[in-house]
Amino acid sequence: MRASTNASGASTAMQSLVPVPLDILFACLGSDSERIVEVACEVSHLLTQLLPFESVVLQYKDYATAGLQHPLEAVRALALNVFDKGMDNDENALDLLVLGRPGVYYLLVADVRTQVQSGLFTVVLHSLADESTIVASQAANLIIKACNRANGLVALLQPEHVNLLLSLKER
Amino acid sequence: MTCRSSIVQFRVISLCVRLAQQSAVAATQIENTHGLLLTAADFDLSDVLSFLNAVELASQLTSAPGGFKLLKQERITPILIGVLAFISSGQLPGRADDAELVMAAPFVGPALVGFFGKARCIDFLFFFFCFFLLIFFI
Repeated sequence: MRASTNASGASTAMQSLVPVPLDILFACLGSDSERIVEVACEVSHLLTQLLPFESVVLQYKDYATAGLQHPLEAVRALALNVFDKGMDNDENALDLLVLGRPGVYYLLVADVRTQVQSGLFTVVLHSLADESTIVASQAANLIIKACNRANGLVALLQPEHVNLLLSLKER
Repeated sequence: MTCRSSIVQFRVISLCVRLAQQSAVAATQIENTHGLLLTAADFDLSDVLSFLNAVELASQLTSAPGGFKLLKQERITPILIGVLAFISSGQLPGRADDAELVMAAPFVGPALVGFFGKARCIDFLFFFFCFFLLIFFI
């Protein structure tokens, strides 16, 4: 009962924190101080769970991209974790990752091949080459999840993505 | 932030094998994208760990719809049969890495037998048996 009350209180507290500009918090992930990055990472993890996945991708795409390429393993894992949760909870997650906008993919599958990519899915594919086995494994699981979505495999097998996978395989 | 190329190589193949295992449609789509799944070039006898990784992924691929057919198409099974035959007969092909293969035989041999066991490819085992007999009598 007490734990439940505490959890509810924490949730309320976090919801009240969300209006705080997240740019400032995400910018802390680029700090030189490893301790600041660690704390920012933990807080970001909590706060991104409250944000709709769409706003993470649309408003904070640059931070998400930077997070996937961050020198610290914890930050890269955090970014992939946010995408993973998005893939679980948001029906437009695949569109957002591949195209950078929601609800288009299902309507325009035939035209998708010629559209500009969001870049996030490409960065996730690059994470397969991560020096950390944990991060690479997270990326692989995320890609599998994405491919289980309708048209997910079509998105993965677009020429740009196939060429990237082949270059990773054969370099 | 990136790691050794052979590790990445097998991560990509492993991802594609996992996807191919999910459904016949997925397997066909990936198969049609040549080079993403295992190819004969991935079986590098000069690097024993890479070779063992490739054999393990080949074993996993046999459980995918049409996986064994793909291994045949890519001319992978003849390579594996050849290596197993040479390990069994003690006569190794005249290659620069023969010495490495002799040392690796205790690891590579069981892995290959395990592969053929998983693949349940009776015709290939029969071929191997005949090949072994031929070498034995010669």
